[in-house]
Amino acid sequence: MNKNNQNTIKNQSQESAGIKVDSLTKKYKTEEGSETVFENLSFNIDSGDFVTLIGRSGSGKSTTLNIISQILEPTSGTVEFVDAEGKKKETTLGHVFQEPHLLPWKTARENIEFVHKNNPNYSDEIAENVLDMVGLADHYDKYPSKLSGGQNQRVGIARALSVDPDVLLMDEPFSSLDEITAEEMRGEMGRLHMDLGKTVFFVTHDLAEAVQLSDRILMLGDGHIYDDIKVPFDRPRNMGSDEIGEFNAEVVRRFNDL
Amino acid sequence: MSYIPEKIYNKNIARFIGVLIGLVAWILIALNYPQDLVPLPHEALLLTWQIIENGRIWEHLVPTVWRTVWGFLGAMVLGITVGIIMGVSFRGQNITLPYIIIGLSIPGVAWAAIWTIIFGFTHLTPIVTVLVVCFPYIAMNFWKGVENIQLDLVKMAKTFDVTNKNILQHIIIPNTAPAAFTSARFGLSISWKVVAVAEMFSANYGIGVMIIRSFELFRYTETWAWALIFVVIILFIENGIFKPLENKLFKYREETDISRI
Repeated sequence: MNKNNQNTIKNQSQESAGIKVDSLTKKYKTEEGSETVFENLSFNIDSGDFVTLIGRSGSGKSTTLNIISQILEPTSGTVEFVDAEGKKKETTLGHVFQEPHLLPWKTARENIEFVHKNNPNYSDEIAENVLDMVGLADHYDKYPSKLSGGQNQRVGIARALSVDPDVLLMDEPFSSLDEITAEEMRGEMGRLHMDLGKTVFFVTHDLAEAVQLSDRILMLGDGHIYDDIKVPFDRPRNMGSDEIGEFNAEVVRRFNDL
Repeated sequence: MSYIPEKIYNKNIARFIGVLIGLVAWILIALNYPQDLVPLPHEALLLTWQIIENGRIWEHLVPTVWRTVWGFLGAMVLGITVGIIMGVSFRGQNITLPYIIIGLSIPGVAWAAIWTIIFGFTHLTPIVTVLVVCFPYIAMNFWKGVENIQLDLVKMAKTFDVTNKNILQHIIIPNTAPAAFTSARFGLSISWKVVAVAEMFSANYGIGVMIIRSFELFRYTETWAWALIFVVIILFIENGIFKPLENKLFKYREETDISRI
């Protein structure tokens, strides 16, 4: 990661948005009738917070994220983006996926340019700034096949940041990386959050990752949020400290409470 | 771990070795057959050169190329259209698949005979024969290309509000380009083979005509010489058109030599 990133964070507004999720229900039609993923799911996320939704496989984490990101329609309920005063706000969303989903025939710079095809104000500087931010200053014109898995995921994060999002939506972005790279990426993500102050809605099944990154942890299971834990530590977090270790153990215990 | 010496990976050396193996095989076959039937390589090449030098080649090459190009283009248009229909709709797949299977199972020579009966001694016979024989191969290839479109990339683009026009231009077309390219390469090489067979049935001019005529007149060295012209043309198309185009279009791909893994 670029150590001089403080100098390279340009054109990123410090604005972000909160999220109000109200009575969200999602059902899928099946041959027998319908299957409920979750019912009456409600929670709020304050502007600038890093909130992680955690749950077991099939609990509906990604479905929740996809509804917030408007990829999926809810069966009922609403999702609203609000400003610091709680008023409804037009919001730009940035998406980071489990896999980077880069176009293999485009370079890192071109992959970022691609999501700005309708943006008349786009310039190469935007791509270069966000690539600098994620530590890829020397890789602007490299194809994904010439980058490592971690570097490709960084391009994915840079692409999401390039739209200057009010809310960053991240769906298990480090789960396909090896542990060493994932650990490095978590550190970078924490630093980016501190620098940019964006609202982040993060989905994972990794409890330690949630503790390392989040301001709040929401636990999803049996179709509802069964715990909401505030993480009381400043960043950057030393995951090896006794205090965080004990907190981590407490989170694991509460996770298993369901 | 590879046991092949590092030098062998030099492309030119590898190509030279390939040509050398072919020539040695040809010489061995020629030495074991009467020389009237199988000439030595230099004899056939010399006669090929004479055909080129005295200008006889043009009155036969031009109609052959013309028929091949039109038949091939028709096969590409039909094959890609059918491939898209098969790739995007199960109903389309069910309707077209029987025709593809019929197309693949009937030999080119049978099509040549059928179209000669229908169109007689006209340019249409070799053109339609090439089209009908090649399009099923192209359709099959392109069908698989359409099926392999990375829908995750389309979903990603949708989340960033990329327009359908840009999705088509920057995701769908590049995603299917390798299949289109393989189809073109494959289709063109089949076209050359098929056009020669069709010309034997239905034309007075063309390289296929000269191959069968020299064969019927027992001038076997000439048969080999005319056949070599096809080799020269295919080598030109492969190295002069396809390879450079492939290197330009697909430079993003990582070259992999499995023997070195």
